[in-house]
Amino acid sequence: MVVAKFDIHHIARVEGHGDLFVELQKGKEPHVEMRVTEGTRLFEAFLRNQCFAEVSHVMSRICGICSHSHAVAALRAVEAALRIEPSHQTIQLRKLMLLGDMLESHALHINFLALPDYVGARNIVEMLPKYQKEVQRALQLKKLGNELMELVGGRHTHPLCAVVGGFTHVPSLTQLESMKKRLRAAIPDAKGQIELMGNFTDPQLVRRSQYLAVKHPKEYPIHDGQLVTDMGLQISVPEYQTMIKERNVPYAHAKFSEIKGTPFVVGSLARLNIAYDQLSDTAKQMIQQVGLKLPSYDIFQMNIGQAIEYLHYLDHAIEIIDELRRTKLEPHVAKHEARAGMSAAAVEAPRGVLIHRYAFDARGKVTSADVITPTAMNYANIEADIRALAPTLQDLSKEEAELKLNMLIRAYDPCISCSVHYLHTC
Amino acid sequence: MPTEKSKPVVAFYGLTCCAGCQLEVLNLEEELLEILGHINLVQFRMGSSAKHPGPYDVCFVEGSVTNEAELAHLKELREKSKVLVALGACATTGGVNALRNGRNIEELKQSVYGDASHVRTLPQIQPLKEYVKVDYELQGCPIAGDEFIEFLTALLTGGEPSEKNYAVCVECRLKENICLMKEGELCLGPITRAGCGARCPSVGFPCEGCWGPVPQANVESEINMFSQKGASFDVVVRKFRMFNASMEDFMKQLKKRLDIEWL
Repeated sequence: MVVAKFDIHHIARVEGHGDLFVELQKGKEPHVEMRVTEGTRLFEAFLRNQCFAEVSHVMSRICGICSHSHAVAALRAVEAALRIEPSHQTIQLRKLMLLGDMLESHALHINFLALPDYVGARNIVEMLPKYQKEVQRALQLKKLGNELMELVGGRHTHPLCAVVGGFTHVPSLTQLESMKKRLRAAIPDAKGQIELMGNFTDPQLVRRSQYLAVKHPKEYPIHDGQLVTDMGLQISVPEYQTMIKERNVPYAHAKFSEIKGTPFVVGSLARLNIAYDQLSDTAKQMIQQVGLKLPSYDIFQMNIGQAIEYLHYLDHAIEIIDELRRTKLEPHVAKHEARAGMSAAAVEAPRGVLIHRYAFDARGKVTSADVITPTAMNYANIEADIRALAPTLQDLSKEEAELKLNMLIRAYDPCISCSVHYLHTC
Repeated sequence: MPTEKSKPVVAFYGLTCCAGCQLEVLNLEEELLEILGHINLVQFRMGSSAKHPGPYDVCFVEGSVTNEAELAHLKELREKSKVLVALGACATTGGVNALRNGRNIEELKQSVYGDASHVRTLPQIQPLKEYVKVDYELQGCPIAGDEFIEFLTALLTGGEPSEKNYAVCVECRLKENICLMKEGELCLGPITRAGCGARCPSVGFPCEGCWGPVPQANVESEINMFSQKGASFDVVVRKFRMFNASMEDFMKQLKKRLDIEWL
């Protein structure tokens, strides 16, 4: 007997198109379908025969919000496949692109997408009468991320001057100094954002899942490292297919992922659970101040997790700029030529681990491509979480129950357009 | 400030795309609140859980039609909207989505999904204006925020939004950039519509044509210039197709010159 049914069409305040279907039956496991309805995009397929130099520009178009993450993941995978060594300056500038992406996307998600639910609004504009200061702050924090991306990548959505081997254009010393000032000036606001999110302790959903992040020995996850789970698994990125297994589901234009037969989580909470000790000191202090306990298995803490990370990533960007200011910045593109090869790279996109893999023929043309996005990695876990949450929904009104379901999905900050193209095994 | 009643009812919808053009609107952090003072924004699923069934005074649609359901949705939006605006490359030229055009769709699907029986998608991507009447187009991948503001201002004040019927080269010259073509690069600036402010060439990257072809583009001369620089047919075709694979006139001229069956 069906005791409750939820059919949410076009989940709002997430990127892309998805529906949720939940059916609760007496004495049975809840039936949950995260329906990914975004039209299929076929990026990996039409990329074939494109030249290696064009890959990052095509692939950044997978996503407007995390275009810099896709561009950097693509560039690094192409370079690994063609055995091109980028300079230290190139690596540091790419980190700034990723950090800009984190700042912009986190500010957008925390304030525009997640926060309205916590204060009873349908969007950030409805928050204005009561939260004018917070809304203004959100806009400024978001803008700062865009400015950093624009400064380094040449444009805030779909970067321009980051190319295979390096950069066609670099920021001037004056521009970097001015950027550093603005990043420093944002620290109090970033702290305020954490304090605000610290006020919201409901809802909660504590369920032990496994967590995956790109772990680097020297820095908090962002640009490079190994694929590491909090259950002790660790492999190098090009071997990802031995760890992450995907399957088709009939109701989605995206594949669902598992590690060792169980769903897993990527995103802010995964990074915090796996690399807490690599956070900046100020970020650690704020964790203490708001009383966040890590590791945390409450998925709703993805939201405050992003606020903590915003502060850390500010500190990281300042550190990199300080280093770059001491060097002579010049446009530099490492020498390279077309050759056959295959490799993969992973970065941390705002929503979690992002993997790109490419193979090229001797002329440097793409013969196969594979992209696994963080949102696609999270789908199976979203469904598992909803199955766990479902029994608590029966006592709520339909409106309250649907709000809770929406909030749960939004906590993952899903980027649905990103997720709808998928594994190509060659 | 207009009164609540006199404000035009505005909606944003996305078909298949990266959502970057809607994001560009959200990225107008300095102007966003002021813009919202002049319009009654009733539908913007990316940023609001509010829903409004229409009708709309102005409806912005980003993305491409990739399946029958999206086509039906677009037609419905057309019927509900006084003014329909196609937003960005995916909606105006098909953008990178149109890179599937000319290829075998079953093979493409199969290579991404394996068993692709559950995947319904159209073999060709076309600009929205091929399916419904489009009143205005804002080009670019993504659109430029300042063009969006300029457009909206014209619309709100009863003026006619201006069309930039000249090439990117004009904007590039005004910025006093060094011509990348002269530096040996393959730049689509001479045949691409202006509006971006010569964004790419200004940071040393040749134009990729995301604003679509400028009216009366001299495609033949562009191909000649590319050939003189030693570009193979293959390279020329890829450059032209990147954002404009669904632009029939463009491809026809290319085909006439290069005689490639599938263009």
